[in-house]
Amino acid sequence: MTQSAAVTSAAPRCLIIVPAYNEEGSIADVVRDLRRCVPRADVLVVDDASTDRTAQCVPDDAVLLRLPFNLGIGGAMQTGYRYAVMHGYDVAVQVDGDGQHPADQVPLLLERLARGDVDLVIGSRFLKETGFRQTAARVAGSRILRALLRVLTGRTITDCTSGFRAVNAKVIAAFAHWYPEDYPEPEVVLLLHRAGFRIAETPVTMKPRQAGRTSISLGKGLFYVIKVSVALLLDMMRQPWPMHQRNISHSNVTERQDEHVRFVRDTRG
Amino acid sequence: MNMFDSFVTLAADAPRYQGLARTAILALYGGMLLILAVRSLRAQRLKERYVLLLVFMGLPFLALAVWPDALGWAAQMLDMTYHTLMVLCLTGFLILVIFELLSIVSVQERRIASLAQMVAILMEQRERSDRPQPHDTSGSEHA
Repeated sequence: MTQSAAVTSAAPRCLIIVPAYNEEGSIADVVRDLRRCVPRADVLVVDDASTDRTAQCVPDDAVLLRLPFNLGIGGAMQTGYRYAVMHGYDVAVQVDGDGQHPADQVPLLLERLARGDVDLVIGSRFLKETGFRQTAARVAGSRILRALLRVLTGRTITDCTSGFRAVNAKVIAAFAHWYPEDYPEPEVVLLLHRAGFRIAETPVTMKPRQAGRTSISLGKGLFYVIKVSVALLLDMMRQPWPMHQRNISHSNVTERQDEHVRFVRDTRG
Repeated sequence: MNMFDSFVTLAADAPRYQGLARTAILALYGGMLLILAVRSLRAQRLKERYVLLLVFMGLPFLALAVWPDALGWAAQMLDMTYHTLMVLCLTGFLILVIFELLSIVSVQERRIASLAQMVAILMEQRERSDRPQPHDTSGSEHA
């Protein structure tokens, strides 16, 4: 029996990771919706050193991790995955803190993952016509990245920049071990594919931002596509999760965390 | 020998003195870097790997003090002008130093990020343990 199948039959423990940076206007609703739609899952908010009242707005029934300084989306997500490993979660779902990922779509990701034939499920806005509208620049950027990924992996990932994802225990352990810092969404797809993990997409609907402002303008978007394209090409030359690390276990990663704890304790003297 | 003769002799030997002065300056500069490296290491002010950087910076100057025409010889062998070779050597050396420093910064950045993540997780654990425990422990871990 595969690990995934075993997890399915034993009702996996699920952690929903919500990275948040200056999301005081939406984080409370996001957590509340998640608690309502996925009551069996635990919700973890990783506050990436917000300068507003994001941390104070997180409801009490969610776990709140407050990073001492801003690590960016990659660092915040990896914090969540490390927490998941330390507490023995079998499944983790990534949901943005800006309210773009509807909580009622999370079960769709979990159902797809529960089939046991994939390690990472990406919620795609473009797999089916969902009425999601983007600016022309964003559409162009997505298409360029999609085409590049198709060339590099031989697979079509329709929404490689989607941050709405679910992963199983193997990927949680891999992410806790290493996670891309700068452009995690497309890089993760390429690196996981190259490491032999199985990736699938499932159609989801997404909403426009509930509050706050997007940090990506037209100029930044264009620059983002160029930087991500170069990063993807560079990723072809590295293997953060070589094939032998696919069997990396919870205990392996927990040992790493214990090392960190010991290190912190030693530093404190 | 009168003063005029002494001056003429000194002027005739000028190239030799210039060469000596050049050797002395190069040896002094290279030696100072090496001494700085050793002193920093002994005082535990710099880690070994960074001391090596200083040593590698100082050694070429000592080598040039011993063999001042090394660059000229290399320029001749490579069939390029002396100044071009100087610029190339300097650029290459600076790139190596910058690369070394960037790699150090990158590793440190990873470690600091890792520590920050652990701090966040441990703080949450401490806050949870400080909180009064609910009687009902059924359901999910944090529900």
